[in-house]
Amino acid sequence: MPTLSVDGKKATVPEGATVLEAARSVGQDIPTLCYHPELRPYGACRLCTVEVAQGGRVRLQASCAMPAEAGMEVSTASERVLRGRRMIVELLVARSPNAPVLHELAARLGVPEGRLKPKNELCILCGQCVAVCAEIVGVSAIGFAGRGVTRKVATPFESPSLECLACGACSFVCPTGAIDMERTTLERIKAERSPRYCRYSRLGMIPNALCPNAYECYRCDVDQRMEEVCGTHPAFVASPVRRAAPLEVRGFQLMAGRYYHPRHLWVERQSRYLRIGVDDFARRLVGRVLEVKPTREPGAQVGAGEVLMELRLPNGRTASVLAPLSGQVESINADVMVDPTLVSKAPYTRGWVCAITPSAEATELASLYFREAAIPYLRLVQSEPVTAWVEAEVEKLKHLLAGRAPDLLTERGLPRVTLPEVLSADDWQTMTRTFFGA
Amino acid sequence: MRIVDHTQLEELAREGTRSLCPDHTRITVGTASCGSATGGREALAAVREEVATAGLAVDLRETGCIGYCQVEPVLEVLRPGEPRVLFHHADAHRARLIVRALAEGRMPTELALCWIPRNGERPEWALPRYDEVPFYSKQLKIVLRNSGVIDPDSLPEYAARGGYHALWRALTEMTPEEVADEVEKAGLRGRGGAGVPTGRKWRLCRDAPGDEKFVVCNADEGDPGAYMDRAVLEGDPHSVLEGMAIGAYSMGSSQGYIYVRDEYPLAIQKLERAIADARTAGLLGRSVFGSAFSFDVHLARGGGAFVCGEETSLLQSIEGKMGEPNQRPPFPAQRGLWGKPTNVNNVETWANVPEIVSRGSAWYAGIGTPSSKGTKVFSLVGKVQNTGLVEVPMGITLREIVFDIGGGILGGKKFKAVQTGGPSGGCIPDRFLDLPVDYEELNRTGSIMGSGGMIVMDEGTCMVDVARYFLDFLREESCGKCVPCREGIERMLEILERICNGEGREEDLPLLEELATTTKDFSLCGLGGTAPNPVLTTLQYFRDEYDAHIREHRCPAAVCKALVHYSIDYALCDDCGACIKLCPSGAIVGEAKRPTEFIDEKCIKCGACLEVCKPAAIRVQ
Ligand SMILES: Cc1cc2nc3c(=O)[nH]c(=O)nc-3n(C[C@H](O)[C@H](O)[C@H](O)COP(=O)(O)O)c2cc1C
Ligand code: SF4
Ligand code: FES
Repeated sequence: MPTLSVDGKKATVPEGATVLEAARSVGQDIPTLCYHPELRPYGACRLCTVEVAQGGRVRLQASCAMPAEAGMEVSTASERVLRGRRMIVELLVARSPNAPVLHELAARLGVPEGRLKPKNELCILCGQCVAVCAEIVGVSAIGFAGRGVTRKVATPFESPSLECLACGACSFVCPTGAIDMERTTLERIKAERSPRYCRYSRLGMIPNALCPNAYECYRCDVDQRMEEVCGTHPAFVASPVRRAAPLEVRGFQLMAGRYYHPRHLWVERQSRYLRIGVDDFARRLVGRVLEVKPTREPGAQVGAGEVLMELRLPNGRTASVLAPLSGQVESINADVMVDPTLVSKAPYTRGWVCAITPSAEATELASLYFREAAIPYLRLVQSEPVTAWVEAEVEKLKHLLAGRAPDLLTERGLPRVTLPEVLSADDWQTMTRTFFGA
Repeated sequence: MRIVDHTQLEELAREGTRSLCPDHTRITVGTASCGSATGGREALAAVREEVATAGLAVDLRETGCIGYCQVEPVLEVLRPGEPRVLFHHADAHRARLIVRALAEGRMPTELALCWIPRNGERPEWALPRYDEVPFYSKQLKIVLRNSGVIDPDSLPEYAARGGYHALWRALTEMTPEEVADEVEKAGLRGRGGAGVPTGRKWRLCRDAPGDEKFVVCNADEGDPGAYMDRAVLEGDPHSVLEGMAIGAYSMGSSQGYIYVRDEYPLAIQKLERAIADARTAGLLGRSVFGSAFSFDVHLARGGGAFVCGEETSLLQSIEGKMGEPNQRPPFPAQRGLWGKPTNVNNVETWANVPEIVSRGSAWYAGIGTPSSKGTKVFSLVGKVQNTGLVEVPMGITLREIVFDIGGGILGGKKFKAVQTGGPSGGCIPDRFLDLPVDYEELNRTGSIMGSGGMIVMDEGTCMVDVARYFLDFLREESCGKCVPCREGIERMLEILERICNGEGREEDLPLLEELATTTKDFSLCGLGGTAPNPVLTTLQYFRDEYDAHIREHRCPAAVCKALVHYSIDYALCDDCGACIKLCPSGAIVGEAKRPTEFIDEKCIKCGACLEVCKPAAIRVQ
C-alpha cells in the first residue's frame, strides 16, 4: 500500500492503483475525458496530466495511466499543468464546438475563446467506445481507421459490421454523443439481421430470445428496466470478456475474444485482416511441428475449407490446416517458417500461421464458434455452445484411442505422448480426418 | 561448419584475412544503396569486363558505404605490399581507366582520392593520406569500422576484423552481469533518439521477472534523409547480430527481432544472408559456440510509418497490430513483446556493443565528453560542400563538422543554421557553432541528438518556412491517438502557413508558443514531445524573421512566395532581353530586346529571370 502526497495531502492506495485514483481518494479532482473506471487506461486526451516529482525529477504524466508509487509528490493543478489543460480543452472545443461536455470544461477552466478556427466534428477520439466494445463486450465491432488528422472511429473495412450486437454500450460511454446508436445502427440491423435476437441475449445476459418489438427497444419494458436495475449500461454488468482468463474445457484452453472454427482453428480480428492459428486442442494432438508448408503465397486466394498449409510432424506424419474462411492470403507468419515449433509452442500468440483478408466474411464468420469468459455461446447463428463442442471433441478423441495400452490419454482426455510418434499411419490419418479434415 | 572452439574462430578469421589481403590485386566497389544509386553497379560490371579483357588476376568484391556519398561511386584497389587506394567518382568510364592502368602495372593515382594506410607503408604517391582528406580528417570510425571495407556477405572477412571475438569473449570469460556492467561503465547511450544509458536499460530487462525475454533491434529509421542505420545493415550486418547476441546473453534472452523498414530491400537481403551464415556457423541458433546459450534472430518488416520507430508502436507492429504508441510505464523492459520483458535498441547502439566488449569499457569511455561517450554517426546534408555519413567522437564542435568535415557552405554563401535530430529537431544558429556536440549540449539549445540527421542551412533559407516544412511532415506522421499532438501540430501548421502567406497576425506568435509548449509537454509519445522543436527554436533564435513576415509582410530570405516581389533595376539592366524570352508567365514585357515593363500580378515568382540575368538586374524583395 504505497503512500504518496497529492497537493500536500497524504494518500494511501492499494498496490496497482493509479495516480488519478490516489488523487480522487483524497478529494482532489482531476478532469478526464478518455478515462473510464471500467476500461483499461488509454491515455489519449492527456487532460488528466499532472506534475509528478520523484527521485529529484519533476515530470508531467497522464495520471489515469500512471501507477501510484510510494514517495511521489503530485501536483494536480500547478500553473504548468493548468496552462496545458486549458490549451487541450481549447483545441478540443475548436474541434468539436457542438459538444456540451467541452463547453462545461472550458467554462470551469477559464479557456479563452475564439482563437482557433472551429471545425465540426462531434467525435473527440477518446476511444472509450472502441475500448468498451473490445474489453467489455468482447466484439471489436468498431476500431480506429486513418492516421493523424484523418483518424476516426469506424467499423472494420468501413463496411457494416455483422459483429455489432447493437448493445449500445458505445453510445452509452461516448462523452459527446457522437455515436447515435439507437437510430443508425439499429435501423440497419433491423433491416439486415435474421433471426432477431434480443440484444440482451446477444450480450449473454438472458437465454436466446427473439425481439418482439422489431428492435424498437424504447417500446420494450425489459429494456426500459434494464439500465435502472443495472445502474449502468447492462454490458458492464454482463461484461462478457472482461479480464477473462482463458476458458478451460477438460484441460484444453480457449482464449477469450476469438472465433473458433470446428476444424480447431482460431480466428482473431486484426485491424484490416483476420489472423489465424491452431487451437490448444490441435496443438496437443500434433505435438512438435517440424515444418510449415504453405500451399498459397501471400496475395493468393483461398477458399473456405481448402488446404492452407501442411504441417510436417515427427515420424513422417502430416496434418493439414484448412482455411476457415475464404479470402486473400495477406501474409504467412515468417516466424513459424523459421521456427515451426512455435505453432505448438505458442499457438495463440507468436505461433499464428497466417492472415487472411476475408471475402465473404459475413456468412462464414457466423459458422465459427466463439467463446466469452463465463457465457459461451455461438455468435449470430444458433448452435451448441463452445464448451459442449470441446467436450464432444474430447469424447471423440477418447473413443478413437480407447482400449490402447498404455493409455495414450490422461483421465481428462489430454494426450500423454506425442501422438504422431506412436500412432500408425492409418490411425493418424483417421485422427486428422476426424479433427482437421475437410 | 559449426564453430565450437577458439581455434576454429581463428581459422575463420585467417580465411577472412586471406580474402581481405589476397596475394594478388583486390578491387572493391561500393554497391550499397547509395553507391548503386550513383552507378556503383555499372562500375562493378565495367571492372569485371575490363579485368576479363586484360586477363588480370583480380579479386573483385562488393562492399558497403564508406560515407563520402558526395564522391560516389567509390572504388578501392589493394595490391600486395601497398596501402589501399580509394578512387572517387568511379563511374563505369573511370573504372575502366583504373583497371587499364592497373593492367599496365601502374597505380592511376591521378584518379584517386587518397590512400589508406595498412601496415605502415609510405608510398611515394602525390596523394593525400586518408586522414588528410578534409572529409575524413576528424572522423573516428567505430560503428562504421567495417562498412566500405569488408564484403558484407562474407562472414570470414567480418571475423578477420575481430568479428564474433567479442561474443566469444562474453560467453567464455564473462558472466551476463559483467557484460551489462561493462556496457554501463563504457557509458554507451542509445543512439535511436533519447540517449538512454544502454547498460541501465539492459539491467532493467535483466532484472525483470519472466521466463522468456526478447531483444529487438530498431531499424525503422524513419527520419527522412537519415540513412546511417541503413549503411550499417548494408555494410556490416554481422556487427548488429553480434551486438544483439551479446545483449541477449547479458539479459537472458534467446529470441531477437530486427524491425526493418520495407523500403530497405538491400539491408533485408544482407541481413538474411548474414543470419543464415551465422546460423550455419553455429553463431546463432541453438547452442551458440557449442555453449549452453541459444539465441536466434528473426526479421520483422515494417510498413514505414514514422511513428512505428517509437518503441511501443514498434512492438505492436511486430505483433501484427496497428503500430500505435502506448503510455509508458509499463516500459518494454517490464511488459514488451507478447507481454514479455523486452529490450529495444537502435542499430547503431547494437553495433557499438561488440567493440566495447572487445576493447573494454575504459577505452570506450575515454572517447567523448563527460556525459556522452563514444562516437555518433551523422548524416550530413544540406548546403555544405561535402555531404555524407560522418562518424565523429562526441564532443566535436558543430563548426568542425560543418566547416572542416563538411567543407563549409556551398557557393560561398553564409551559414545560417544547422538542424540536428531529424524532422523534430531544432534549428541551431551560428552563435552555437562552437558547441561541443553531445546529448546535453544539444538539448540545451532546444534541439536534440535524435538519430543523427544534420541539415545545414544557408542564408537563402527562410526559417519560418523551415518550421512550416517540418510541421507539415509531422502532421502527416502523427498517429492521431493523443489530442496535443494531433490537434496541436495541425493548429501550429495552420498558423505557420498563415504567416508564410503574409496573413500572420501579431497575436499569432504567443499562441504559437503556447501550442508548442503544450504539445511538447503533454503528448503521449516522443513524436508529439519533440514535434514543436522546429517551431520553438526558430521562434527563439530567428524571431526577427517571424516579425518581418508579420509586421513588414516581407520574407527576408525571399522564399515565401506570397511575400516576395520581383522587379527590374534599370540602372543595371543591359537590355539583353533574355528574361523576356524565359519568363513562363509573360510577366516581363517589352519590345525586341528591351524589357520595359514588369507586371507584378503576372509574376509567379519562379526565379527563372533571376538565374538568367547576367548583370544581376533582377531585384527580389
Ligand atoms: C516518433 C518516434 C520515432 C522514432 N524512430 C526511431 C527510429 O527510426 N529508429 C530508432 O532506432 N529509434 C527511433 N525512435 C526511438 C525509439 O522509441 C527508442 O527509443 C529507441 O529505439 C531505443 O533504442 P536506443 O536506446 O538504442 O536509442 C523513435 C522515437 C519516436 C518517438
Ligand atoms: S504524440 Fe502523436 S504520435 Fe505519439 S501517440 Fe500522440 S498522436 Fe500518436
Ligand atoms: S483521462 Fe488520462 S489521458 Fe485522457
